[in-house]
Amino acid sequence: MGPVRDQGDDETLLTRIARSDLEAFRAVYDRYSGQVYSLAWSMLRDASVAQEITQDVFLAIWRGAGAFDLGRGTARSWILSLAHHKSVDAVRRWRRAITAPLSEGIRDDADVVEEAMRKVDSAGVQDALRALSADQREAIVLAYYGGYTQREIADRLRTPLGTVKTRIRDGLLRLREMLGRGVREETVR
Amino acid sequence: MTHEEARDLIPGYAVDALEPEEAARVEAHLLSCGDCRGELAVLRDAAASLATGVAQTAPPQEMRNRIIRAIGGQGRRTSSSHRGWIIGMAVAAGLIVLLGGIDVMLQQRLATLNARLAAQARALALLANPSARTVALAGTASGAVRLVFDPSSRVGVLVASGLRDPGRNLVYQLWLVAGQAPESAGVFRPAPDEPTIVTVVADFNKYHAIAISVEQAPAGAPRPTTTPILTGVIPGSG
Repeated sequence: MGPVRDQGDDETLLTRIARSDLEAFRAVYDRYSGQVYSLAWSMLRDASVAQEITQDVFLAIWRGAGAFDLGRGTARSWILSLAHHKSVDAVRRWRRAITAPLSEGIRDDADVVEEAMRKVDSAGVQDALRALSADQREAIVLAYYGGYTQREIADRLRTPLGTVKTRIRDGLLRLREMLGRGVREETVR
Repeated sequence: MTHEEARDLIPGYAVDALEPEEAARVEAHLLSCGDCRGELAVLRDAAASLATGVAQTAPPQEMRNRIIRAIGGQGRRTSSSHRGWIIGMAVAAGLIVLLGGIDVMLQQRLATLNARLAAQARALALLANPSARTVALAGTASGAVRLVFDPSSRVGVLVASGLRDPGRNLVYQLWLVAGQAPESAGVFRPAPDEPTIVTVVADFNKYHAIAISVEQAPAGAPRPTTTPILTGVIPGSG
């Protein structure tokens, strides 16, 4: 469906990018710029920062495609992890600049989690998150969408760090079961 | 970092929820541990679904060209009437690309030097460590190659001097051997005129030998494809 012309699978495209193939780069850009930009935008709520992150991500893809390692996951999960990593960096820089750390939380935990949950737009991902235990959902949402470290989360929830780690791990594995491996979201426009 | 410690941190690593120094240590462990890379692949898959769960907004149109310009590619369309102007632009763009290239080169050089300094610091710390052990590798290649490691912290460095360049499109690959299955501990190319230091993070008690073979650049092979040129026996913990 849709006008997306198949240029080969993502991994093949990355191999071509590693050989400085500009056409492969354009194909990857067209395939992923929307998802990269949307993730950055939803985490930062700032168009210019989201653009900067998107640009950084694609420069990193251009320079780093040769180091892509299929052993650590698919090309898709690599690209999205780059986007997440740079978004989290920006969230933390911003938070350090303007607000108190999470441990001095001003607002209720539930509010923070609910606010982060509002970033989730896909019904499938919403349902999958709601199907987790409340503890798992809280840990994953605060970590992934909130950009908090697991140590910050443990401090804030007054929960042992080991428990938070287990919730993140178990929650991720359950999400993967529910959402399927390497699921490709159709973003038909 | 032990395998168990790394394993415990990988879910946090997959969602970028580690402290920076933890993340760096996991990163180092991943280089030598296929199991942990596999675990990361599974967890990153779940994280990727979270990434695509957010509301989708299209990035501004002009960003595509800006990024493609930034990496140095220009879709040039010449129309004869503007050729002089376009040549001027092309020269300017070429200069920008060149300056960008120099900047990237300097950054890469700096990163290389930093990595080298860190490796040297590790090597010195190991040499000063009373519980460190040394293995001299011997075989068909010329050069002095030693592994110095501390079994308790599981950090080691391979120091190689006088190793010849392996040849175009080839690298030296380091293997740790437990039982029948050698595990890759990374690849390297010797720098001319200076000793090469390769950091190895592993549970050395598990392995009884270390070997180096010549493999294809850039990433080497999952299993050795050539006879090792150098080998050494890792002493058991006593």
